[in-house]
Amino acid sequence: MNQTDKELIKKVLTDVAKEFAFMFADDWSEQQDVDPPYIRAEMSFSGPYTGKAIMATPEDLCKEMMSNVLGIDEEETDIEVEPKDALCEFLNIFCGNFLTSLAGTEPVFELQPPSADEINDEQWEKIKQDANFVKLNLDDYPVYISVEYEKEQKDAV
Amino acid sequence: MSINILIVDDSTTVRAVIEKTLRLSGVEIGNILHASNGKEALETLRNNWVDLVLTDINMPIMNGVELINEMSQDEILKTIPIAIVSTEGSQTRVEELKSKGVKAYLRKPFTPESLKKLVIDLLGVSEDESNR
Repeated sequence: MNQTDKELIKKVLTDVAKEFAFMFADDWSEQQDVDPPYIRAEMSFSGPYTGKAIMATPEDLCKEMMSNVLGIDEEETDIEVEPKDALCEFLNIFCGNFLTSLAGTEPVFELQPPSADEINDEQWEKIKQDANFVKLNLDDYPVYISVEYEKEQKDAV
Repeated sequence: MSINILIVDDSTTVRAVIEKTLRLSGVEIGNILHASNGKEALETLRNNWVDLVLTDINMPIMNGVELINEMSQDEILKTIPIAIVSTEGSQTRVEELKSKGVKAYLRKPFTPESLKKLVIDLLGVSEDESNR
């Protein structure tokens, strides 16, 4: 992933975090410890650009995000919302806004619904070491994001 | 007169946020119904009186575009106002959906104020009335 893409990811995620979850993003320092469990969400897209977006974060951030979005603590509601669902929606909104920032508002993209799963320590460490992931801090939790894509190949006439 | 609203979104988080926003909006809301995809929405619409549909586009099983297509071909369902609430950023697609009867479009992330305004505008109630 090139530096321009990384800057774009950072900008879009910062904007979406502020508007969707009322959270502020800045750079993540790897010196900070975080506890498992960890959640990884992924979604794919196709259109002028085809690829996938991946986001990984501790489950505690998903819970905090859920509370912020709903404006209530988890214990205060009988609405059954899973922390994973909040991360999936965060990724979904991020991805839609990223693609518009990348390609403009004319092209049509098909976005597949996101899915999320818990990952183990080894998988978490692998993501942490992966240079393709942008690393950001949201309310003292790390968020690792990557977007891999290829430009659509037009058939030669 | 209270109004019934169907929220169609595969994300329980989004459905919960929309429901909470609507309940706090001051608009006289009757039933708020939920569906997690277009297929569930069609079943709900055929068994319940609904005044307004708020639907996402990107959903499993049956997406929002397919739902709108189905509704536009049904003599009764095509009379129900539809608003898109989605991360969809393509103006091309939004215009295409508006030609099929979609009345409004709200992009995620949205503010509670923008959702309230959309509902008030679509249902033709004034803000004063909605605050009574």
